[in-house]
Amino acid sequence: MKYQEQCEIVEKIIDHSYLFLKFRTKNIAKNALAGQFVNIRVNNSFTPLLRRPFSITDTEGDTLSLLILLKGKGTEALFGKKIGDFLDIIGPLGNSFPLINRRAIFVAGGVGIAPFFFLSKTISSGLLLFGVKSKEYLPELSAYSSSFSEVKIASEDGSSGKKGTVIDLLSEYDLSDKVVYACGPNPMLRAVSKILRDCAQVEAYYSIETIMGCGFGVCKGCAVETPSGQYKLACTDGPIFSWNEVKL
Amino acid sequence: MKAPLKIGSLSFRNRVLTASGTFGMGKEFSDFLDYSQLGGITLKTITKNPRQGNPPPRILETPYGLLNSIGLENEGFQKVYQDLKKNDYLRQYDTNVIFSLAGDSVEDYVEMARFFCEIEGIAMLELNLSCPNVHEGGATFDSNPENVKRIVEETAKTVSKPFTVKFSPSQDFVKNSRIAEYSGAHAITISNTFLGMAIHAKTKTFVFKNKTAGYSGPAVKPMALANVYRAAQAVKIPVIASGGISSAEDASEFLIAGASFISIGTLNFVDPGLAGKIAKEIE
Repeated sequence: MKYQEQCEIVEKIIDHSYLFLKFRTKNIAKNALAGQFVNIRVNNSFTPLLRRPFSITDTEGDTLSLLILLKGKGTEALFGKKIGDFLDIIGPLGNSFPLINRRAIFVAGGVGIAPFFFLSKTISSGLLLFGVKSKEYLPELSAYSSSFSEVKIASEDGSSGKKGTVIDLLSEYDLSDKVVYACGPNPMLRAVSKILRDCAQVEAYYSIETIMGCGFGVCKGCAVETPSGQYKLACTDGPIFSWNEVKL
Repeated sequence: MKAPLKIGSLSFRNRVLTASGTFGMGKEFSDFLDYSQLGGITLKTITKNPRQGNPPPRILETPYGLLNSIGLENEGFQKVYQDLKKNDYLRQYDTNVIFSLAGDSVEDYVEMARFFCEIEGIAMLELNLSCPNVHEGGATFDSNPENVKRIVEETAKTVSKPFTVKFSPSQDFVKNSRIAEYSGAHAITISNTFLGMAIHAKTKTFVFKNKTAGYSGPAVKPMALANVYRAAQAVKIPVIASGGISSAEDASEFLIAGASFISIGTLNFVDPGLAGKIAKEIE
């Protein structure tokens, strides 16, 4: 079941380029699974016209939390919202992360960390590998760090953790018999795939990001190509795909 | 000004419909909308053969508008027909279900219309003569008035349910509307999306593989209003209007321009509950 609700902002934190928003929802939070997303109408005008999709970062009772990176017109409008404002949200949308009985490695690039806080509540004691450009792009992790067995950070400029990328971190691990969950920019996911191709017995799932229209399978605007040249929809077939199910 | 709440012999609860291509195959909005609030719902156009659609990107937002180059992704006539034969889920909807179809030839339209008329849950057909982004360069059936005449005449002879004919605004839709009327159509739909394009200036490339795309959303409303007015002046059969309708006020404007029914299109993506709200407000 999907819901369209007017949701009140109950908490707002701006942290460099990130925005944490917490909403009170009627049904969306209660029915959400890790990996699902919501599609938000950022204002009542038609600029921007379309809703903006965001991975669900966390839920607690009837509250829904989102981690949002400032990117364009849509996210800019959200940065301007105040506590007490109501936003039109539809969700929960899309599929969820499959839960695999193996040691989990979460691979996150930038705002791609968003779905893993929620997932770490279900799959505790996973290893988090997190790559950012610099320490300014490192959102506050302390509330969640206990859900991960270990957190390793890489930054491109070396301002936090290891100097390098999340791929450098990942390549240090033997991935056989593990399950990898990855979310981040497409070049990062392609680099993860390159590593996975050399591993036997690996299972991996990506949460992918695309341009999206409606978010519930109607406009067919979020097509993703499969290796056989067919198309799947990120909104209803995804956003979680097995790593070899889609071409990125 | 009150036009009858009828198309052919089919009665409608009210004047609010949804537009093809923005409402899926009917199931997708059931969590958001009580269909019994609507006059009717129009399903996604089904083509003779399955189409896997165009490669991404398929949509691009513009100021107050949307460009799309979906490529009529659908499972094709045979599959959809067989599935409906087995399970006519459309029967459960307490509204008029309008089934949209498009062929590759005049004969396809007539054949598909005949088959889909057998399905009890389908109340009415829409012959989509206007999809701009499947054929290269945007050429469509309605670019040739002879096609319009033959498709409508043959369909009228063959089918027992009322049908509307959907036109492109890029063709001579006034002339096409007249042809459709005297060839036996029960309504006309004005219109499909406008012809648009997007280019990346930096890389000097087209955004969409097919170069052109369908343009819709609030931005096209003034053009759509003028087109609906012109078509409504030309024919006596009901005009179904669509083009950027986002409120009950917009809907009223189209009714004043001469439409008998209005379709909510692109705004279904933005506010999936909108059609119901508009239906309540314009009562």
